Amino acid sequence: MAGIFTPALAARSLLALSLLFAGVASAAESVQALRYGVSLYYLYQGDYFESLTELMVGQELAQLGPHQDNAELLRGGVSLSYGMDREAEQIFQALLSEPREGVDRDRAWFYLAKVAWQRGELDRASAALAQLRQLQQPALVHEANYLRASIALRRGDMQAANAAAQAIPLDSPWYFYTAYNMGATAAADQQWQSASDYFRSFADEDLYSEELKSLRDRAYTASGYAQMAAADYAGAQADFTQVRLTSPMSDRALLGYGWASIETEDYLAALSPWQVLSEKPPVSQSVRESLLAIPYAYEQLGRDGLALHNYQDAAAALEAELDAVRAAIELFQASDLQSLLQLEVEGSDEWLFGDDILPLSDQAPYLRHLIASHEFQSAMKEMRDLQRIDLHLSRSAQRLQVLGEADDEQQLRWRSVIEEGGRDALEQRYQQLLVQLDAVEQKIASAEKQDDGRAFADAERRQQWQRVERAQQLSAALDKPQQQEMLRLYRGLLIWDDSENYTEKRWQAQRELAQLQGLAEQSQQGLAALDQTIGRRRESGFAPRIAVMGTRIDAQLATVDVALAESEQGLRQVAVAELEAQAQQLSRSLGQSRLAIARLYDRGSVGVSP
Amino acid sequence: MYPTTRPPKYPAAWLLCLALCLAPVLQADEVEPQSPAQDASLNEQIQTIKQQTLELNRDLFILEEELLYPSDTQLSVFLSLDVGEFFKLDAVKLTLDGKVVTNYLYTDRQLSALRRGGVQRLYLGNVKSGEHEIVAVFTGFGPKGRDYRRGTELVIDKTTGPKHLELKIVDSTDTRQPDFVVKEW
Repeated sequence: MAGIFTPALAARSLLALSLLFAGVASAAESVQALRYGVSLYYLYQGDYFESLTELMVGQELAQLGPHQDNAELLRGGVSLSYGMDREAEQIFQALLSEPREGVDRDRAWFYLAKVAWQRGELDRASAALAQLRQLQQPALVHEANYLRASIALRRGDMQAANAAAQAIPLDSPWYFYTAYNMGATAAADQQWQSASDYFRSFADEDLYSEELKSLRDRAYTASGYAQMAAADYAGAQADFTQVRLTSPMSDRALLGYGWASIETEDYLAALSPWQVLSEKPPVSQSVRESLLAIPYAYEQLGRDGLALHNYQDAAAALEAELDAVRAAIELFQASDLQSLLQLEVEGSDEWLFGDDILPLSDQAPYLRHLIASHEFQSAMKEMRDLQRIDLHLSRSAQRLQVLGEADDEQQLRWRSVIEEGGRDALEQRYQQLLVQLDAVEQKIASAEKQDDGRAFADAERRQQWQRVERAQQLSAALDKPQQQEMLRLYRGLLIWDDSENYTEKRWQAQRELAQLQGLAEQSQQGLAALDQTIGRRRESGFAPRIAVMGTRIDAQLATVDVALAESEQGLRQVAVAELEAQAQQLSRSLGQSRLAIARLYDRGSVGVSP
Repeated sequence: MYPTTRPPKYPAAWLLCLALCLAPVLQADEVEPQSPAQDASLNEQIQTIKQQTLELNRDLFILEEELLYPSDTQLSVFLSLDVGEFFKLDAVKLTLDGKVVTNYLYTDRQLSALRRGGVQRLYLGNVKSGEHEIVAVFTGFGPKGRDYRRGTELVIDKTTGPKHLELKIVDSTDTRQPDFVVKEW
């Protein structure tokens, strides 16, 4: 039996994601490399593309620190979630063939088993699961047992499936998925009671998520039909009443409840659920079925007039529906599917189900039925993935344009620095600073050597000294002892004053020296950085890399366009085939209703009861 | 001629429902195991496209960092959350040398990602060498759901090489209050 996704199993929660990556990192403090943490930030939001990009950049630039080895395992897991099972498999195999320290081998084996299972390679999946030694994360242990049970079910080994299922605790969602699938397998073998026992595993459990509640609705619906097959109609009705009216499964449950009543010839009891059902838009098969089932019940009750009236209403509704489905077929054959479906391409890479992806178009009700099929889901997911990649690439092209402009601007600036003497001016300023520095150093050295405060004299003081020394020479030449004595006293005053200020002046000179040294160091660093940058830019300009990148983006966009067209074509075929099947089914129902009308008219010629 | 008798017992139409209901189910993120006959060529092609696009994005990312945020001037600010019991983050305003460079409002999904160990790159830009003042103001709901607004500031010395800062919101079990810590990497 083919597996199906249904709106009832809408993945609005992050349950699946949290299970897959359980134990990757439990708290911010465990992150020891920022880029690894950034990758997790995107991963936990379901943005696999950005998460993988961060990991790959981190690996390329060796920025993942102690996470380097574990990051590769994470990349494998995220690749698997992003639908890249081929890449994921290569990663896990490489990790297992070249053991690295810090890599959880059990997790690698687990993911490898999952890849094999997804490919339908049961033996390889089993072999990988057999390699598990001490898988640490409970969620993964439970999923591993789910995989074991699923593989056993596929092989028809119910006993092995049971053994694996028993190892899954009740608080794990995998318990319920396993139980459901075991029920489905038992039902396929016509083991109706056993099937119901599995389906009813949900009975006393306080289910914590909408996803599991939806699964319970589905299980009770399935159990009801299994009970009908076992001719236990009361049991079937009890199961059908467990289904929530708000559930997408309620249509089938209401229909089934009615049929269970019919089987016990309680035609009045059958009418109530069917009338509820018939008031809904006739887009689901169950509602369409109820349109014919109601007059059938009236016939059984001997109310041929009501039956005729209801068959006529049913025929009108089915005919209108058939026209609508045919119009939808034409639309799907001729229209641009991407704009028709209007899939939300922003947001996360996670694939959402049911109403989350239901387009707001007139064809929405038919799509609701369509998307219940796995084939259509897969085709739509592929198209959405390609649309998102197209979006990423378009944004990459914009980013590259910005890079090109920035590079051009920087080139202009460098050219002005190099060609218009900017670098020379900086060099000149640096040389001047060195001269000043040398002068101050000599001044301090001279003062300290001679212990002479005159070395620190400012311009005014130097003039004073010059005047005194000139006057002393003159007075000595003129032989004027009185003036010589006065000048000697004045000179002593200057020496005393310089001596008094020596400490302060030396401190000031040293401070000036330190400032000059700082400036010179900065200038030297600036000059070195400039030389390095000029050298680097001369060696490897960004322009060639930008050009190559532009070519790669253009080529990739063209490849995506081709794949999108192919994907759209596949999706169109699936959609049209599904709608044609609906049209055929409607035609059959319409034929049945017309036949019944004719039959009742024919009987009416004998005498139709009101 | 149409039959004039009562209709025969209605054919067991519910058998179709039985068949539809009894198919195995898959977990939300599960992929249907492929049957050997399934044509996987488009899927293979899409996987190749994804890998090539990822490699392209990686190279573009590196080129962007080298060109727009060279290591000598690069300043990046990250945000992480540890536990977050005493503080529900609503928004962060980041100011660099008196100029607002980031004003970020968080969704529940982003907060959940932070609580689970994710680290957000809040700001990536360029600054000159020397001292710079960074101020982060966090708003949200503190203990008992009260409005809460706290700021933290730091003066950094930007030298050669990239500068990475992590703003950490940590629960202090001693004071039962959130702590806002800045870590220089």
